[in-house]
Amino acid sequence: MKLTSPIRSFNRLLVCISVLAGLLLPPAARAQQVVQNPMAGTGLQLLGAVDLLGEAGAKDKATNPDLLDVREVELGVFAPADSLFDGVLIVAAHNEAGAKTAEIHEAYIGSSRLIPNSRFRAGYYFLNFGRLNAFHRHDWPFTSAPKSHERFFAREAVTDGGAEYSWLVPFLPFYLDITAGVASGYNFGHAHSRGPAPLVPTHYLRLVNFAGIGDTSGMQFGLNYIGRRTELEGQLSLVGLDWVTKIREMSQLRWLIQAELWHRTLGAGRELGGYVFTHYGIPDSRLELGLRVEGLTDLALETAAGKSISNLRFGVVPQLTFRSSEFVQLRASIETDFQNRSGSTTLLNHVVQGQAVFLLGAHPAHEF
Amino acid sequence: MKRYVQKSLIFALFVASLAGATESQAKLKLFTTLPDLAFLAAQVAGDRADVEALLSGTENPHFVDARPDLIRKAAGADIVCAVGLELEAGWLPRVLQKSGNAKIQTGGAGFCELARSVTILQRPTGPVDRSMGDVHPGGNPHFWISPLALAESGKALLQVLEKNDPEGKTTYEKNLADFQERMNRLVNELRPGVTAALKKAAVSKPVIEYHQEFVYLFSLYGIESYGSIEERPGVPPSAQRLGQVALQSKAAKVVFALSAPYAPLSLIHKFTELSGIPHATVATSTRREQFKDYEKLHREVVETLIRGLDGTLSHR
Repeated sequence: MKLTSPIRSFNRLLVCISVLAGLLLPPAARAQQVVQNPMAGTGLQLLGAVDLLGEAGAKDKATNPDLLDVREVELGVFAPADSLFDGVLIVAAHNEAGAKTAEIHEAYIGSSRLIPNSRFRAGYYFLNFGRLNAFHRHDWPFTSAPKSHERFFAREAVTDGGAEYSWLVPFLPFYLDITAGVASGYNFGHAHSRGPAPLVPTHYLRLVNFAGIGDTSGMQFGLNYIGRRTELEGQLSLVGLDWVTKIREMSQLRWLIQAELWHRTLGAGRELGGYVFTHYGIPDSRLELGLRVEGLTDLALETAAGKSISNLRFGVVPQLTFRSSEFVQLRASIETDFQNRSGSTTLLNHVVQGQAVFLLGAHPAHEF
Repeated sequence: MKRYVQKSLIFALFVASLAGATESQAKLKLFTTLPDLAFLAAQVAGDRADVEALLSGTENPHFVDARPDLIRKAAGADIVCAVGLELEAGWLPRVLQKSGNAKIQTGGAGFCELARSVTILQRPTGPVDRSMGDVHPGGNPHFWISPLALAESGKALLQVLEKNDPEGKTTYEKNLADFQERMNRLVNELRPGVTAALKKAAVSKPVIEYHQEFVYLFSLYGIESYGSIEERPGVPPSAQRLGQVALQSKAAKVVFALSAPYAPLSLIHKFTELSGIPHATVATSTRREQFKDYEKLHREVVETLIRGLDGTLSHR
């Protein structure tokens, strides 16, 4: 959702951020301002996130800078709106083809206080399906989107306006969280303009299960369905599995294994894609090693004679992260993409990336 | 048809009243973040509540994920009690929010932060920001290691229990008074041993901590800490810091070093290697399944303190 022209410019957004940053004063200084501060007693939390990215060797230079540049800045405000509802507003500025474009990332009202075992929200938000789509990019465990995610969803996430309801099933002997949502569906992915009205709006369902491993670790499984129908593209159906395993040792995330597998049907097209990411935290250090392996194939690709063509786009992304704290991380990664078609493999892209992420303000949530 | 509807309604009301009666007689379901808080809650609530800890007692309570198993437990809770002072800031708010349980949301009748009724130590007086490490603006949250501070936190627990179960007010007040007396007896029994060992150590600041999480224990027994191996709370010390603090501690005749089980052992071993100062690890929390062993754990911690002070601690 694009903002109106008065605050479209990135410079103006930075001015807004600077003004709001005054609210991020040290607590003691804040305490002195309580009398004058109209925010006191509102429960307002501010979170600023900055994602800096530099790349070398990218073929797609329209969107990826060679030098270190701002990929994204987010400014989030969270607070209880009243005794029943919570409000969230997250404004972001993206680097798109060199221009910094300001937009609303999330703006919704929700509650976990109205219906037992339930949460719901309505407004504009990152739709809650899959693993990556629910997270903001600066919170991802790697720098750039896997090819399947970019192809099926967006470079960051599918955002849309709608309503979503989650129910933590109470009477089962195991964890089952069910989310169902409907979004407008004028667009699917990251878009700055409104598309044509869909025949069937975007609708999605997500089931999440969890199994604990010892006292501090566990595995989470998700099963997802997303549907939408438009006159131009026909029926979109996405079915996906996501899997996350976290092994914590002492204060450190020792192992993270995260994977997603998606099958997409769009009109007559059928594609399959996914990735597996493994992270290893080096003991007693702030260094983390990571490796992502990914693939994407067009199942409907065939010759003019109707013969199926084997094809696979695959990539390998090793990375090294220095996690200074929960609030700052520096990451280097090498992304290499290949295309295999009918047994012949070609190198598509070889990119070296450097990323720096820092968070200011409110303590980030330790999501599983 | 009308009669059938009337009978159905009467039956439904009867079932609902039975359910209501069962609910009113049911025990409160009380979850605490740490097992030590569960020990306090179980003593104060007695048989009016089923008490369980969310955490196992082996993890660093700051670095916990909002795991779905914790969310599931919180969903069925009448009361959730936390330490507070931002100790659980990274995960508890998300657990509460995802539980969809209105009672235990911040500000709800079933949520309590026990630090509210404790005399907090190391409360910063000047400006605090993240360049200083993980400094808690409200003060040091690790109070539960002191039996007296734990008993003090019972006042905040009492408030939330009385709010949720006014009929149990007298029982809760009596149980808390008994608990405070019991903790006093425990500390009074152990104090002479620590005092004697302190005299034997004959150093003004005999102990150094890896992270400042024993402050309430030291304060309880009149021990002055030399400080921490960490230069900034929550930030692992650099090689330069380790070297400096090892030499300074040695020069100051620090007698022993103390750390929690989740502290990075390789760094502590480096410190002991450079300084020659022996080190001991003590559990800072009971285990979830054995939270009733709080007093036993405290005796073990004090025994380690005494051995550290009187020089009978072997290099570990």
